Amino acid sequence: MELNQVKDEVNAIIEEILKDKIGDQGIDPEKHLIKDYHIESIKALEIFLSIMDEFNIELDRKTIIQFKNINEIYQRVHELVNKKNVSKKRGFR
Amino acid sequence: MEYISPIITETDHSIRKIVQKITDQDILPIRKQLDDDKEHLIINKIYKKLHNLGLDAGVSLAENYDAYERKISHVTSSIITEELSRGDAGIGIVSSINGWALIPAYTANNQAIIQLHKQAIENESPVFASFAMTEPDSGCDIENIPLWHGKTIKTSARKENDSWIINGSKALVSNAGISSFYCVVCQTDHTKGTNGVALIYVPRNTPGLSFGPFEKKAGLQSDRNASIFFDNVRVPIHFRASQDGDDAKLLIANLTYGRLASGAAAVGGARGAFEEVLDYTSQRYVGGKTIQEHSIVAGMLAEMATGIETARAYYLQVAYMLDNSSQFGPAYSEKILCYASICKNYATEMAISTTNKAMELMGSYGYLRDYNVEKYWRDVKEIQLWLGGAQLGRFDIARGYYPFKGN
Repeated sequence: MELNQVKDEVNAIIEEILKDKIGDQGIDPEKHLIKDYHIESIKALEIFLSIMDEFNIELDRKTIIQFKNINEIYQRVHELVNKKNVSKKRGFR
Repeated sequence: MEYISPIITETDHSIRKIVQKITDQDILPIRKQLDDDKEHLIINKIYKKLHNLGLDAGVSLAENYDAYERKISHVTSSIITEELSRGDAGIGIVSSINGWALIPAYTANNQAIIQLHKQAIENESPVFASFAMTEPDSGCDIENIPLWHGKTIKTSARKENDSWIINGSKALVSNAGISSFYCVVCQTDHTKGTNGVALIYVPRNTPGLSFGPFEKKAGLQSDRNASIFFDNVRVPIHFRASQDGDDAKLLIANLTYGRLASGAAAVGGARGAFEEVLDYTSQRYVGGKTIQEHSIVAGMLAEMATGIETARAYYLQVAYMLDNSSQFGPAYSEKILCYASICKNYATEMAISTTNKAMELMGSYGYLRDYNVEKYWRDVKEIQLWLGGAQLGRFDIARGYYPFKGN
């Protein structure tokens, strides 16, 4: 899966959950979900849970707690999705 | 089923939604396999997910924190326990126990244990903790602090220079052998009574600590129990939660928290069975109409719903009181212990009756493992039996209403 596709899907999840916070200017990948969008931590958990379900991946506690900005989330999800795809391909050999 | 405000905040609603999703997607589809998951391969995936999301500290979240180190209330943690228990009471309970074991350290602000816990969170997933209270010869005797003042605790802790030396054994400890930490209820000096009660933390790999095999139980397989043996187990002096007098209060407070969580778990189990039987009775026909259209069945369903709703309303009230202890009194007070005991006793009686009725309404199908009800029926019974069982619970309720003259 391409990084841009990951970005689009992650953005769609964030926009759906943070409808009121995002506005017309869209998502800024340099922003931190909690600190910059001023949301309850539980909203962030809702986003991470939806990301895990959507991509069928497991985000560890460190990623969930220590991410610096949204861009870092894209990167981590992209990495995990592709790792999963590689191991699937290997499984067929 | 809707929750009410103002006791329930917007955040609580959001947390409930998240946990409900986890229960629906991750627990309910595999709950029939849990009895046979002896190695906990399936269950641990769920615990890991809860840990990663910071939703595994259950009851003590009030004194503990979520993944972002924000304080979570007793109301919130009780809702988490109910929602998880709707899927599987064992998972709901084990998630509570992790925090329950650590709450004395967090309440006493014991930095040695808090830092140890934080290190474990960094390095392990999931992180389990155990509260070791019951002994082979006595459960109620230990918990009956107003009567025995901790004099019947046989596990001893002797001070030697800058260490505690622990000897004795504990029984039926949840996650024994798996947990990273054990909060052990000890007695330092029988002549000191309540002042001799000590809650001492023992890390898993401490020399002299050993574990028995897991007990074979009727249900609640997600919560594994075993004995723990202490043979001259030595831990640093600052691994005691607090000090003389305070540790006994922390112990009583833990009974209060445990009974509240038990109430929430019982409501969750009853709800799971109720939802199953609602579905079943809407699809089974007798005499040309669904069985839930027959008045005798509708009456039973109404009783089940009434029990669930009232038990939930009551546990939420007690959780709210604990969150506002400056107004209602501390968790170790006789009155609050009494209220938490009402929570557990009422909710477990209700859950046993509800799961029993659910089984009756399904006839022999209800007894089959292919259907979900029999597991709820087996699981909720154990909730009634721990923490002093129904009878010490009743005693603690009565004591809340009259001055008790213990020796």
